[in-house]
Amino acid sequence: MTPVWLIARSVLIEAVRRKEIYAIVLISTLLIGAVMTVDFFNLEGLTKFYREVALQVMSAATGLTVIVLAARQLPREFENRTIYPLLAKPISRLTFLLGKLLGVMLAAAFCYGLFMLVFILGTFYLGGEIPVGLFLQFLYLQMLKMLLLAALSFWLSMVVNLDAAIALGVIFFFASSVMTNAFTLLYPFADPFGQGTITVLNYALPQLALLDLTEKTVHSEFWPPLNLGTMFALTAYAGFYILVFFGAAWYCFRRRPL
Amino acid sequence: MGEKRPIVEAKDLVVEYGKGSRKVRAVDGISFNVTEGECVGFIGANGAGKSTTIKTLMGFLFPVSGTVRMFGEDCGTVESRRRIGYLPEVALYYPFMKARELLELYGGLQGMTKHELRERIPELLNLVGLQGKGEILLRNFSKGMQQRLGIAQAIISHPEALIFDELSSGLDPVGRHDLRRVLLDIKNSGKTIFFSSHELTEVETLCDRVIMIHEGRIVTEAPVSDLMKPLNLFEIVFSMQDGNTLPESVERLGPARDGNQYRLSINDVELYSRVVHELSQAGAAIHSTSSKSRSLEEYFIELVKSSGNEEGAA
Amino acid sequence: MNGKKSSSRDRKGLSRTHILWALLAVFALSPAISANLQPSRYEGGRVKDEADIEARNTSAFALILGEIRANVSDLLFVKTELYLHSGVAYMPHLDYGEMAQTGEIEHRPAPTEDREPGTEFDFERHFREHQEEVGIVDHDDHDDEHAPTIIPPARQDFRGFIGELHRRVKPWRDPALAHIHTDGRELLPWYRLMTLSDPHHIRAYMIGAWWLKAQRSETQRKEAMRFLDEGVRNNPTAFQLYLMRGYMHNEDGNIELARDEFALAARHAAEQRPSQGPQHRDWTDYMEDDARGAVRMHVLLERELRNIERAIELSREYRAAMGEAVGFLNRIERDLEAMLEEE
Repeated sequence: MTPVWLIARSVLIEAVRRKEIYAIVLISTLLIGAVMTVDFFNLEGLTKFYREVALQVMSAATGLTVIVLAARQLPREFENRTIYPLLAKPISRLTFLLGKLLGVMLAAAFCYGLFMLVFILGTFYLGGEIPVGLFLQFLYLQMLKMLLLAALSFWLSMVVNLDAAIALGVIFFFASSVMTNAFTLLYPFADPFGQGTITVLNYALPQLALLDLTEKTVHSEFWPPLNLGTMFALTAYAGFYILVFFGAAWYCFRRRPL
Repeated sequence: MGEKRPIVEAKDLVVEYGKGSRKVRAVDGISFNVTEGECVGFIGANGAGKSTTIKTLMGFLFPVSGTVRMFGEDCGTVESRRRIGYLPEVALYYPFMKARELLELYGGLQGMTKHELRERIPELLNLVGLQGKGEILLRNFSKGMQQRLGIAQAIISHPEALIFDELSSGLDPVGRHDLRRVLLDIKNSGKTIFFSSHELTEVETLCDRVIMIHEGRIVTEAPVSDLMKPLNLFEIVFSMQDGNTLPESVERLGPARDGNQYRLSINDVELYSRVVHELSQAGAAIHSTSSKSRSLEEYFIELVKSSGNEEGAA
Repeated sequence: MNGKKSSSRDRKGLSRTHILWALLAVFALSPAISANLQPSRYEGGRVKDEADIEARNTSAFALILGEIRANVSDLLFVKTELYLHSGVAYMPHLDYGEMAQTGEIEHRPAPTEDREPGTEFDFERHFREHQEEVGIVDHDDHDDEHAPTIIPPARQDFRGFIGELHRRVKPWRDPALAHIHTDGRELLPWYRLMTLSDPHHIRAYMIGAWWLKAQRSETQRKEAMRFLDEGVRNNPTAFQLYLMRGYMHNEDGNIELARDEFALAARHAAEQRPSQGPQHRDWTDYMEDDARGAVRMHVLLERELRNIERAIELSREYRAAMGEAVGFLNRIERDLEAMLEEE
């Protein structure tokens, strides 16, 4: 067993045993269920609406779970002093951080797995179909998004306190989803300085909307899966920011006195 | 027999906390060695710099100046940690894990295989008095049980050297006794042990050598046998009768005179016997003899005080 | 001693479990609780004048929750636009012309013989188009086919490769191309949620009912009428909803019922219409059209029921109340008088 896997496994065990994920999945499922109990004019097979509500709720719930889980990994280790016996073992701080990141991603995958179970059962219950190609791409991009959020949360938790890290992560999560459209809407109204600022922000900030295939998955009868080139470009785009945030987190953690 | 290799080498080590005007020097230029097979106690008052030194050895803190090497490697490197078992000052372990899982985690990180762990974990739990507790979640462990588990994780991979920060903190007398037994076994097997402790009886029992630290500086460093010598104090109250003169050998010891009575304090049992014999030969009337044992702790306090006075005088 | 400890731990665990179950029960029962909150009593959100604002601001609860409800409802309205265009986000263009595209102006057509050429929306043609749309068609005679998309085409986009990725990831069509319209069926849940969120969202009732009717099934037609009934219950002075109900009864051949609905619509419209008409801040062109439609339909249906004298009487009343806005009544009135003379 590699050290990265061992650290990751401990994060996963925590996520699975602390029951928070189950609570989130249960509440989200009840929410989706509650919405579905509304009488929609005796219409059956309204799968788009179900898909939209379910995927949005699941993405938001998993995103928030990842932010909270990732942001608290390092501060909790410092606070509870559990980091000392761990880092006394022959592992580097980079290995430790990679293990934590992998663990958070495994927890996110576990959370998403539970959601998917609910989603797939719900879809079959409603007599709908799942667009396999698009749906797999949706899941892949969601995981990239979660990885980016986890890396960002790690970095934030190294530069501000835990509460601030979670708050900033959540603000970023929601703001980034709307900023992509906001840029295009604001640009024509901005003066040259404003346009320059928007252009810089457009290239500097990671735009989570680019990693969200929800709309195409909902309206899947019109949209084919993305081609490989686009998927590669999106992977590279997300990968760049993941490396930047993870690198920044590691840089802060590398020589941090414990 | 060849020269023993150094396991820990600290030279002119300076460690500071904080920045700018809030900077605090916790360790102020200490140097010491711990050689292979030695058991060295690191003692000092709270805030003396013991934990800071140990954390620096482990690579958790970074020195401002000076060097620390372990097994010839720079401290904090993966290689240097591979051969060490470490017990932190306050040991807290993941409350959501079972004892067995935790030991699997730490053993795995030490590079042990699953097969090795399957054999080692029950044996280890038995050794630290946690037999049958492997499947219990750590949130249900008492502080003492956690400390025992901490000891287990430190020695899981039979490390060549053990570094314990506050050895028996949180342990009850039985736990302390058990731990002492375990450490004696480890010591007798030739392993190197370096630990800090408030329990000076442990130091007396286990250590070959003691390093005393105060306000970030080493105030004394000596074999335990040398340190224990001045710890017993004998007092003789006597007077010289019928014009007998004080023997010259006794006069050299500088007894205090009060009227015609002398009071002499001696901290060496052999010297004490010789003086009593000489006084009897010289016809002195010995009014009383008493022996008083000082603890290492009192001795340490005295040392600390005298170190403070010297600083003041300087 | 250990036994005592563990039992106290058990008790603690049990109480936490109870709290969890209690919370779950409250959550599960929340629809029933909210159903009893009488959402129709909420009067905030869509205010018409300062008195409305004043009344709304007397309660902090209404102020905060009220705005949210109305805003959520409006956001859901935008969502229907996305669903209509298979996920493609066009710039907001929900003007009255666009409302016609989604059926809201269905109530506007006058009987063919009374339509003033060039001044009225050709409902019949438009309805046929939308019938075709039920079943997903790609049509190129759409009024809003050049509405810009929120994601601009490459030629207008400053964002370089990020813009390109955005266009590939999100549903997007060049705005120069015809829109893809979907089966309105999938829009319907949003109208339901819109009106649950804001029971005074009259347009949501109207368009939702239109799409229901467009499903061409008897069940959905009944659902459309029920939806309108609910809208009327929550908005008893919303003349547009009476007008919609009138059209539906009229299509079903229930002329008398239709006449009664048009009468209510026309009465409320005449009462509510300010003397300045669409020049008034709160009276839109759209409301003006609806008011005119209600008046016209009321008069025409009285004629159809052979109550010629009553029709003439009504025409005069409406002309007196609404003036030039119902100038078309002059011609109808002349026809009615001719009919009366013939009889």
